[in-house]
Amino acid sequence: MIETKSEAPQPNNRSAAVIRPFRSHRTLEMRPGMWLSTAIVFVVGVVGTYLLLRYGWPPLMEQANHLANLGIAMHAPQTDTYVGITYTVLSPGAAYVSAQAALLIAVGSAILLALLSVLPNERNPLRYWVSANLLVLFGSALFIYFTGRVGYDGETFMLLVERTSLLVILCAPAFLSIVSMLLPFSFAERFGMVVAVVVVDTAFSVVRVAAFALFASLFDGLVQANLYLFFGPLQDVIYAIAVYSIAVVMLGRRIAKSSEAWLWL
Amino acid sequence: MVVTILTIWVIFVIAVMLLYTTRHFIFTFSRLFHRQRVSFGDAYEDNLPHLTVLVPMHNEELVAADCLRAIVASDYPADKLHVVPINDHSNDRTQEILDRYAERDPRIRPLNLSGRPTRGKSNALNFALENVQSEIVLVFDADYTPGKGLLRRLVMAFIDPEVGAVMGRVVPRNTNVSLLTRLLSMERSGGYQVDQQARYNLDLLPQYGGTVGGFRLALLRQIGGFDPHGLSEDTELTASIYERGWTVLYDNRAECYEEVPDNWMSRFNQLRRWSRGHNRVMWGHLLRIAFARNLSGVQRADAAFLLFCYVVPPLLISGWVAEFLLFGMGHLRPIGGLLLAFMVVLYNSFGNFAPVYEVATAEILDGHSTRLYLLPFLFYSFPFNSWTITTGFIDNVGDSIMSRVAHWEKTGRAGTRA
Repeated sequence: MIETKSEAPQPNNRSAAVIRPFRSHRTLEMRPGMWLSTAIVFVVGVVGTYLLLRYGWPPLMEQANHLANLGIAMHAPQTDTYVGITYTVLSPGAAYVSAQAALLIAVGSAILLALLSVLPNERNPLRYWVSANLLVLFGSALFIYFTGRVGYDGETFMLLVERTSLLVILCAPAFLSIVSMLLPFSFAERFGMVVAVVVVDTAFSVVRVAAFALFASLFDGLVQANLYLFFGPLQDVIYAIAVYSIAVVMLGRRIAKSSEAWLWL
Repeated sequence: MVVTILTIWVIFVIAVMLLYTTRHFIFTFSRLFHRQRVSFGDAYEDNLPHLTVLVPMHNEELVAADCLRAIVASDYPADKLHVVPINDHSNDRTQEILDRYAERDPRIRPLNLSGRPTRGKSNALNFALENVQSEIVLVFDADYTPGKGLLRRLVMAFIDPEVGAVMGRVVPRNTNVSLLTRLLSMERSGGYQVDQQARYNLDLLPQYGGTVGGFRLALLRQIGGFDPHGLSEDTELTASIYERGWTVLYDNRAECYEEVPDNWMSRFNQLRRWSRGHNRVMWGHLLRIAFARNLSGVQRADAAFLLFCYVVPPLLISGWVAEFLLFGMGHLRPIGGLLLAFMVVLYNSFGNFAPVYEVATAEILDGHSTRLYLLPFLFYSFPFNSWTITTGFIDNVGDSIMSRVAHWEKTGRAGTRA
């Protein structure tokens, strides 16, 4: 309920409300169609993505194998069946990291970390990303030094990477449906978001699987944790947020153009 | 055995994150579709009470003049307004600026704490409050420039006799300076436009913030002033208010414009100080608020979420360490990798850090949607935020163990010279 300024209260008239439209007074209308379209996109997205991956993932992993072979020769690929999908698992050879080399890398990482900590703080987020990666590298090297082994052998590592990629892509439609369910996106926008994320995730996954196989064959367990924890599934979620951000900007602009989009207090 | 313990720990951390995420989801729903509670700010009152505005200042030469100008330009009745800028051991031109403005306007009555042994915002406020006579006290940070009607709006909250404190909305005014200021602006939008308003809608515990808010003098007298060693006098006051059966009124319309840190070092110091101070309040008030009879079960749960919010990043880091160890031992499964990724997403879902859907909702309500292109960058600052808050947590643990007194770390200002 909004009263206009022309009905300004008289002096001595205590507590007469004069609420003027302001951004703090905006709300949105809850339409049942929002929930329905979210539910449809959720179900269609998850089922459609599953079917897409069931038939599309195996040839894509073949391509990843070819891509990795351009850099370094892979061992004969194995196959794996996960969530009912059978596909090729890349088999990078395992480079041997000696205890001395591991110790050297641990010391080098520690020195770099110390150097980074005394540098000016102007580029902090980047610095912290580099530091976090160095810390994981330091931990991996120490792990190798004390136990002789870290993480997985090349093939098991790739199995982990490919299975996680599959899982993330399968979960992406559900994740996006939930994140966007409260805002008044159209059905096309909701569906478009899911398609865009699945396409982007899948394409980058192929490149990433090939790149990870290359790095794993060159550096073995030393870099596995860095690859998996920082450049693995986390990146997929960030792609999803990037697609979501584009969609919400479009939605925001559309709402801003229409004065009837808002419900006011 | 070790693998089982580590796995259970990771699941526990993720469960905590999920709880915070669910809470924010409910808040976003409430802000969009629930009945919105408004303050009394839009009411008219011709008999406003006497008001004192306290502005603690430590080396604020860059912002002091703007702040004072904005306060005295207010439409609050001139004969009922006193402005008390408190010079807390500044060694720049702050005192000179205060003296100049005091000569121009008799309502400005500066206090100079130079020579006194105690320092810090809490001490400055306690000292100033000794001489305050008015029933209502507002506190602004020195980088705040309130709009013309803001004082009146905030004071109107005290029409309700149960209201012990009022809090307005903080809006950054230097948003377009850098990536950091844009990200902070988005965080603030989510935190106030959605989070605080939803807590007010749902009759939970909106927080009093020491940057744009006020309280009844009687309440402060009742709790015996601010903790002189505290760094988060606002969280402390919030907890004390609810423990004693008062409430905090949040006025989303009462916007006040602040300067957010424009460089990462300032942000580091600010966040570290918040974490250190907030955790001190948490240890001191957790049990008292948990057994406060006047609070409902849901309100106690919200209080726990609020008090624990600066413990979550250390918890998250412990979760990462557990995941790294599981990975190193070859026991991290694909589902663990997926959970790890979501844990990072959920990281932006606790305490004052609004998650993506909350930020998006707030920016759309504010009409600033273009800024949302930067949403993915929120995730690139997560190691920074995690580490900074954890540093503050470690400081607090050190303070407790060694009975150390924390010192106030001032937030750097860019401002414009007076």
